[in-house]
Formats: sequence, C-alpha cells, structure tokens
Amino acid sequence: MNLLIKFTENDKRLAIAVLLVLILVFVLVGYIGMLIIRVMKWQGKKVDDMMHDVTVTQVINEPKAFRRLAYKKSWREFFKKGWIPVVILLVAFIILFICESLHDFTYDIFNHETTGFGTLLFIWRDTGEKRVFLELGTLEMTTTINLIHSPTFKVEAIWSYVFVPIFLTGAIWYLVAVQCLISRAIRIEKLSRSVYDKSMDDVKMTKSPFNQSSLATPPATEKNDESPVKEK
Amino acid sequence: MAKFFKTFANGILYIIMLPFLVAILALSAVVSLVAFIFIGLKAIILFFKGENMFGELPEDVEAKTRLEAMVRAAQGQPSQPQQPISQGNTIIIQNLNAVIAPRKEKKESDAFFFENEDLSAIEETLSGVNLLEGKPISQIEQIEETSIIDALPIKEETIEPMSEVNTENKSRFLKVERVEESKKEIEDLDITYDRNRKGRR
Repeated sequence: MNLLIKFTENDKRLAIAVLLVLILVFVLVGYIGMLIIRVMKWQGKKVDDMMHDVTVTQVINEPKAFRRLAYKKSWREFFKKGWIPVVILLVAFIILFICESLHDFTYDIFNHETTGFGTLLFIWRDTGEKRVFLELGTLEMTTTINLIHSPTFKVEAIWSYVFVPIFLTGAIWYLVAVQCLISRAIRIEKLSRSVYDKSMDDVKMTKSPFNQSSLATPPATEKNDESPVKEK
Repeated sequence: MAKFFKTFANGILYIIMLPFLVAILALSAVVSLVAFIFIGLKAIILFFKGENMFGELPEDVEAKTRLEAMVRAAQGQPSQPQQPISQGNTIIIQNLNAVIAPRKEKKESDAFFFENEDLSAIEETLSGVNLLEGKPISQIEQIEETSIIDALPIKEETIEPMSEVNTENKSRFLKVERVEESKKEIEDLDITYDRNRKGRR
C-alpha cells in the first residue's frame, strides 16, 4: 500500500497500462488456444469421413476393430499428407550439404555476424551489463539482456537465406501433418467409445416391443386354460 | 464479461501447459517420422511385389457392396423374375428355360438375362432386377460373359390360352401321366412298421 502511495499519477497510469497489456496477452493466448482446438476438431472430422461407411453398414461392430481400422487409415492419411513436407525437408538438407561441402564443412548457419540467417534478425543476448527498462516512481526494473545485433544483409550468408526458409516451410508443414495425426487419434478414441456405447438412459422395459406380447396377454379364462399340453 | 474472463483463464492455463504441449508435439513428430520411414519402406517393398499399399481396404470394399445393396433396396427394385407378357389371347414366353431354370448356388457373379425383342434387356441379380442401360437387347453388343443363360438355347414359343389347347398339348405341359404314376407308387407303398419284414417300405 505504501508503494502505491509513493507512485505519482503518471506511474499509476503506467502500471495500469502494463496490467492491461498483460491481460490482453493472456486473452490473446486464450483465443489462440481456442482457435487451435477448433482447428484440431475440424482436422479430426476426417475420421468421420473415413469410417462412416464401414460403421453404418456394420462391417465393423466393435470398438477394438474400429480403432484398429481407423488408426490404419489415419497412418495412411499421414503418409499421403506428410510426404511433401518430408521431400521439402530433404531438399533443404541437400542444399545445406552442398553448401557445407563447398566450404569444407566450416560454414556456420548459426553465425549472426557473417554467414547465418541471424544476420537478418534483431538479436538480444545476456551481456551482463545492467540497464533499466522500466521506471515506476522510485522503482526501477533492470535487465542484463541487451540488443547485440540489428538486421544487415550479408552476401556470404546467401546459403542460409536459401536453406532456412525452405527448412522452415517443410518443418511447419510437417508439424501441421503431425497435429492432424494427433487430432485424428483423439477423435478415434472419442468415437470408439461413443459409437458403440450401450446407454441404458432411454431404455424402458415397460415400453419395450419385446414385452408387448406378455403385456397384451388376456387374463386366463376357462377356455384359455386348455393348453396344448393338456391335449396329450 | 463471463466469457471474457473464461478466455483470460484459458490463456493462463495454456501458458502454463505450453511446455508440455510442445513436448508432446515434439515427441509425436519424432515418433511419426520413424513411422513414416517404416511405412515408406513397406510401401516400396510392396510396390516391387506388384501390390498397392494405399489401395482400398477389404472393409471398404465390403462396405461399398453393402451400400449398393441398400440403395437398390431403397429404390424398391423387385427381386422376382419378370412375369411372362400377355398380348391379347397369346402368352409369349421368350426363353422359357430362363423362367423355369432352377437357381444354382447363390453367387454375386451369377446373373440371369431375360430377352425380349421389343423390350429392354433385363439383368436379374441377387438384389433385384435392373434394366441394362434402357436399351433393347439387340442394341447391346456385349453381354456379361458370366451369365449362365448364354449357355442355354433360346426358345421362342407361342402358347395359346388353356381353354383352346388340345389334350395332347395339355398333358405335355402339365405332365398328367407322370402325376398319376407317382400317385400309384404312393398307394402301393406300405408304410407300416414290421421289424421282421424285409423289402421295400
């Protein structure tokens, strides 16, 4: 409380702004998470497409068989969808191999000064030098992380400029295919439980068609008592 | 407002869970890469064996067959053979053998073809009777080779109504004599049981 009293009006405004930014970040992450879940549900719908016919026609009648066939189809689908990013990744590594062989395997793609893709990026690093990045009244927030590199184009890093985008394209594409695989696996597990679920919630034996004959039987009379057994 | 706070709470949850989610994704990526290599090798081996790994599964083929049968049943196509056509006082039965031919053991490949010069060709399968492209039989160049009717001779007969048929023809059709013979045989047959008796019972 004493800390708040020491704050000037300007500091309080800044503190509120920082808090709002934090809330905004959390909400944004929440929305991104919900979006990913929705996308995964959409990806999982492929299982319905793959398994609808065999389930409706009762070719498959039990959860175990359902899971076995669904996983088989899911892996096939993954292979069909995954070969393109794998080829892209292979091409990227071939480019890297050619580059390395031309430079006697001394070409460093992580060097942000001369040959790496990092030459095009801002780079911060812990240099040990303290600097203030936020002041709230008498309170000062310091860090030792400092900017050490600003983007510059280097001709020597051209191999990195070719390799990294191709590699990232292949890697992200492949990860999306893996995400699809996970989505399908979740959907398969869910469906294998729900499709063959024997629920008793709606079962009423008094309304059962199998019970109609017994319910409809008239009370025993003298004529009705003549059963076939007596005729013997 | 409640939704906003729910999203905010989800955001905090996702940030806490993020390392685990990333670890699961990375692990899945590695496992799936290994599986990908195995599937690829298997596909290559099967390719050189002349098989297609990504062809239709037997379950899919079965499902497709059942669906086709269900669709036909829903369309209400009759499964009985076509009745003889009546034109005035004359009944024309084309290919009589086909009508009275006993059914063999049921197979999907078995199909009967009824031929009428003026009508469309008809294919009877186990699930129903279908028109073959709605064309007269004379316009269809090739009939399915598996048809057992191909082997049978086509007989075109004109049958007059029963009232006008003479006795000779009537006995030929109804085989009255044969029926009387069999009646006699039944009357001669002794069905009483005698342990010591030998011979025909």
